[in-house]
Amino acid sequence: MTMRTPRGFILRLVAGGSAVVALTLLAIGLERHASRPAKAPSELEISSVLGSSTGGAAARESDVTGSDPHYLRAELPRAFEFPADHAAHEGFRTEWWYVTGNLFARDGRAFGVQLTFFRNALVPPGAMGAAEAAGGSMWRSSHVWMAHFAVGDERRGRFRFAERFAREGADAALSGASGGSGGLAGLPAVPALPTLRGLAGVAPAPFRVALEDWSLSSVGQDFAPLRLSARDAGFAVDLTLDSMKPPVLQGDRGLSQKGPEPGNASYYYSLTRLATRGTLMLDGEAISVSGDSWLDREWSTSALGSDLSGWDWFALQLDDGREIMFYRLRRKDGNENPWSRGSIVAADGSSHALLGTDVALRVVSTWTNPAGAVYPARWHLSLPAEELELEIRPRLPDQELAVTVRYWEGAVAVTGSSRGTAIGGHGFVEMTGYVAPSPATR
Amino acid sequence: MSLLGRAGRRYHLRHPAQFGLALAGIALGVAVVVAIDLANESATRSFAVATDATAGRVTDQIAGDSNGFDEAVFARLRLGTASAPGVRASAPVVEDVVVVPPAQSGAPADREHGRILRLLGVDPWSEVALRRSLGGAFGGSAGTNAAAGGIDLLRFLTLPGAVLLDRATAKELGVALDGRIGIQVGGRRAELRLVGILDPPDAAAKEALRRVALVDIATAQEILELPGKLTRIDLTLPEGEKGEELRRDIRALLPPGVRLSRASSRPAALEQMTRAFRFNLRALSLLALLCGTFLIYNTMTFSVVQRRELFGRLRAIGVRRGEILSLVLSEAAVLGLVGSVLGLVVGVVLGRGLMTLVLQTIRDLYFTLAAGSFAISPLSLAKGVALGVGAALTAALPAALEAARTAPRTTLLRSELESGARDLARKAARLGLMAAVAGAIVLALATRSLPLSLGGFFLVLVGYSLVVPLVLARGLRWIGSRPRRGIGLFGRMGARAVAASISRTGIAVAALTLAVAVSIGIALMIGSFRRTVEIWLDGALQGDLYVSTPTQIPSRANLHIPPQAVERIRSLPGVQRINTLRMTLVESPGQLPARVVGIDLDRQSLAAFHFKEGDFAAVWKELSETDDAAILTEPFAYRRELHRGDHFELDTHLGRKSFRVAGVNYDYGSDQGVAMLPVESFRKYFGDPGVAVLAVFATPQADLLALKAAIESGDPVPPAGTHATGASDATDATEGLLLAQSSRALKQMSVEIFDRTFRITGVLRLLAIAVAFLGILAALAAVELERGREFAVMRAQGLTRRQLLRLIAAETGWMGLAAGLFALPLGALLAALMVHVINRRSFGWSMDLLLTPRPFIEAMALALGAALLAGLIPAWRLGRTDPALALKLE
Repeated sequence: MTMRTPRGFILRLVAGGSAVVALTLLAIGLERHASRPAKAPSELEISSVLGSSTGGAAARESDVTGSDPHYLRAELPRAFEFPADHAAHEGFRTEWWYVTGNLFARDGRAFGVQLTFFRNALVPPGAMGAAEAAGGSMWRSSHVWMAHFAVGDERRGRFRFAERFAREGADAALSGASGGSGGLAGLPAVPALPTLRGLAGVAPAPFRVALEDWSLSSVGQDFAPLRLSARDAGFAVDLTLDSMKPPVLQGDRGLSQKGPEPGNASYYYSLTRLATRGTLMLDGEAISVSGDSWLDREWSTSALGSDLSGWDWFALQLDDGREIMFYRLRRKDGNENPWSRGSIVAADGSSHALLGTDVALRVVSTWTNPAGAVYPARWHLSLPAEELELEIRPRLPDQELAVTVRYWEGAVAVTGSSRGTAIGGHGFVEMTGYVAPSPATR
Repeated sequence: MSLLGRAGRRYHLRHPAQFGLALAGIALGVAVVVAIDLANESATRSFAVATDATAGRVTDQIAGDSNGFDEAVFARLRLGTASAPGVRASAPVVEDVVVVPPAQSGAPADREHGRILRLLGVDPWSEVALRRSLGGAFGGSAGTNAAAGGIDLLRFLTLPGAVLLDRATAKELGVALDGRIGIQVGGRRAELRLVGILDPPDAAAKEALRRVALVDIATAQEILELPGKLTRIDLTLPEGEKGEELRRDIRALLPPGVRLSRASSRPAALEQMTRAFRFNLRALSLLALLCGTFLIYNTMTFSVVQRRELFGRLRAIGVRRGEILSLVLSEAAVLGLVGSVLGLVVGVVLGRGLMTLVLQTIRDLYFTLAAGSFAISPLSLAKGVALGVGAALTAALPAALEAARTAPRTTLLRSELESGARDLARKAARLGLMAAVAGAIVLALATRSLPLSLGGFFLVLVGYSLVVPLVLARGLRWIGSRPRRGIGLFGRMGARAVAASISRTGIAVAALTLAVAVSIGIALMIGSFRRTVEIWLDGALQGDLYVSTPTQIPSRANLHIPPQAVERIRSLPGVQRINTLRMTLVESPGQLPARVVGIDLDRQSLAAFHFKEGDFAAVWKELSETDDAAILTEPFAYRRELHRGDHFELDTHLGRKSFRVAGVNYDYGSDQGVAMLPVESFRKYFGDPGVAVLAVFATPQADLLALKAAIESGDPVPPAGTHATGASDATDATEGLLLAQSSRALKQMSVEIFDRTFRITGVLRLLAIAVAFLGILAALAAVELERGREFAVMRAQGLTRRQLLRLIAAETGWMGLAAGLFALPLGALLAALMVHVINRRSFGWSMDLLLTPRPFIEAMALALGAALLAGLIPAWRLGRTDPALALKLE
């Protein structure tokens, strides 16, 4: 999911996370955070640090703002190479692996599953070399990882989510599952200890991205099939995902422009249909499920325009084998930003881009969260060129993740018509910027 | 106020000195008790705060020995296993104590040794998972995030040496934002950079973060040179069955030598370690109150005797016994209350001063870091008032009963009263004998319990003093009854007078005896102890020079001499051989923390041991042939009830391991004791933390001064002169970071620490004497005032003022002399009890009792001086009184 607006969102999340850390250091509990997003002053302070400097002592003195020469930026279309591009792009500040899925039990019970890994660089590549060499602490990391895991259960009306942070080990390589060297001498009875590096990071081949015991990894030598495994208090998933279509390069050959300035863009591709089967564990109950998942991959360094208040993102998988991705960028003045974009993928995997003007999106009803923030809760989406009329309905009204920065990310059911024929489907919707202060504002 | 109450008040207003002295006695007694209590509480609290600062809502901790454990344990904990999910509420910690060298600090107290900072390395994201607010003492709702904006987290995480300090600490260190702080870590130097200043939202947080250098965990590992190691992992586990299940899962994950324990057990261990010490202090403070109680007893009895006519008349007009009883008791209650409140005020002031002494002692004895702040606990104050009022009521009860017994018509003659008092003295003596015997039995039976031992000790003490009045009366009557050369007329008169008013003087002399005996006992005990330690030091300090890092502060892993420095010193010309000492602290759940020491085993070093159990040949054989034999120091063995041949368990790197006691040696280095292993076995079971102390044996012709300079300068070769330049290329960068002390200097330092340790005992001793002095003053004043008429008659018959003075001096002199004489055997007895019973049961040390004449002479002088001084005031007053006026007033 997501992310059509990379930097704002990820920065907000990380900034929010950092704000929490700051608060924690200051002995202020997290509870206030659960009830309220990071307060503006500290958040701004920290995001401005994240936004204005390369971090680290050396970089702080350099008076670089906005565009940072030490990080790479998404300025021109590039040649994508798979499977290499499934792994990390460390020259960029932020990157994510975003899996969402609609899964169904044999009795028709519907579930939404989300597992997302965010990589965030604290300093540009190489900036920490000296520091790392100085002490050799594995904790001296240039990256912090954040992950979100959520499972929604339509019939029980229950949505669960969790958030985790961990720093990456000094070496970006993730040494396989969790097989580390047994660091201690002569311990027969106990299994070998994992290394710290096993706690968070991404490895290229075989592919694996993980934060503690949440992971997405290749089953064999090929990128797909993938195994997605995560567990938290009372809910866990263990799924196998097999890609049915080649990667879809979003935007202009994978360069997803978010604003008028060059470099205010991300590299973005999607695996729009991953046949999924496996097991959910909910409160000790094991449920066999199957369905469709979607993997979004995006990496970038630079910013969104300051006039944005948030976005609504749709990833829809239709019964006829087509997929639609569309994001709408909302401006603070209430108007739609002209850089809203999307794509439509045919059953054979071919795709073409959608402009904001190609799509008509109407909010049908709203949902108010416990804190009083009002989210759209039902939409009508029409694509006149395709004669496609779709009703999009959340499987659960409350699929809001009350994490460091609150957002709504949830499974939706789709009904409608295509060229006059009834059509169904499902998908995921993400909405940010509905809880004040807006996560996309500065 | 009732008529009776007014009568009572009127009486006391007319005798302000009497009332004031009793007040002062109770106030001083309560003050000492409250002061000790507050000082103890504050000291204990400072441990709690030190632990709480990082403990927060932590329920459990994972820890290894003092050298840390593999950080992979944390990864394993977070990842969990197939059957057990990872534990989320867990936070790794790397911490140790570092020193800001004196150059940067200004306060005189820190000038000598530098300032101690607690370097606390945390992982901010794990703290989030733990939902912990650092400083812990304050909850999640406290404070605002206003200060958050000032913290540059990116720099905190990525800049090596980045540190956060709270505002007070930053100010204390005189460092501004972005400033650098030079620190000393064991034998190395390092630099911190202040990247943020914390403004803790409340006092508790301020306290918790005081002198804490908050760093990222990576920074802590780098600064402390502990790559890959954690000091501990903090956990928040649920209560009940679920928590127990989790604990079982976690234990299954841990490698040998790494333990999960309740977070509360750490401060508890410290609490336990210092309990005996604090208990002893409390006992001493109660002694002061006991003296104060004697004083109240005196005052109340006296006031009743003086008013016996009044009470007789009151009874005659229909006042009931109960009313008289309650009148006297309520007077005592008022006295106790007012005295106690005064005592609280004095106690708080006194406590502030005592806390410094208590903390100092605890630091010296228990090698722990406690920067205390004084807190006034309402509970301590309440306890003080309760004790004061309780003591006053108890002391007044006999007098109140006596008053209530007053027959309506008759007024007792003084002589009848005194013969009654002699009966009472006989009864008291019988009671005292019984108490003393009971105390002796308790002491004999309660072989390990400190409270019971102290109880027995008190029984003996009180029992003995109860016998005093009877012996005093009989003795003085005997002296006064026959002409004797040397004591003269006034001497005889004085003796008879004291014996005649035994109801007043007996108690006063008993109180003085008590105080003086305690003074003798403490002085003898300290002297014996000191001598024992000196003899032990002479035997134990065999090396010529002892090398260590300069700050002997409690540091878990970094009190170590860098290995290259050890090798350099070994190869210095003039060094014949060196002995090394390694040390670790093993903390196992359910056990006392055990300090384990690895020593170089050679015949020469072992020969210097003074064994209590085992002998050189046998110990040598066991240590050199097996790897599980240990030498225990006496306190270590005493606390665990171990003897030669017994086995005990320690958590080692290879799991829980049983060790055999090869020998027990005398050692006064620590009251917790240590277990010593040959360095080979130490390395095997506890890894190699590095050398903590190094003893240098020089060749006979070596110049020790030059050698010391060479070691301290870091130069490879002793310079020609006495001072090294330290500029040579070949230095090992330890210049100025090692301290080489001659065994003489070390001995002197040890003795200084010893003296410092007992300073508080000395202070308490003086306080007890002060209370006793007040007691004797009050008693004498009462006696002399009561006999105003008698003296007036004598004056009228021609007694000169000078002669009157001599008479009074004789009376008080007899009392002082008697108290001194009674105190001599009691003092020796107390010293023996303290040396052989109390100290042994408190600290596990064997000592030889050393009876030196000086404390006895001092005590004698003290008793006589106090008595004579106390007699001066009444004598002066009486001398001024016009006899005719005194007669008329009667």
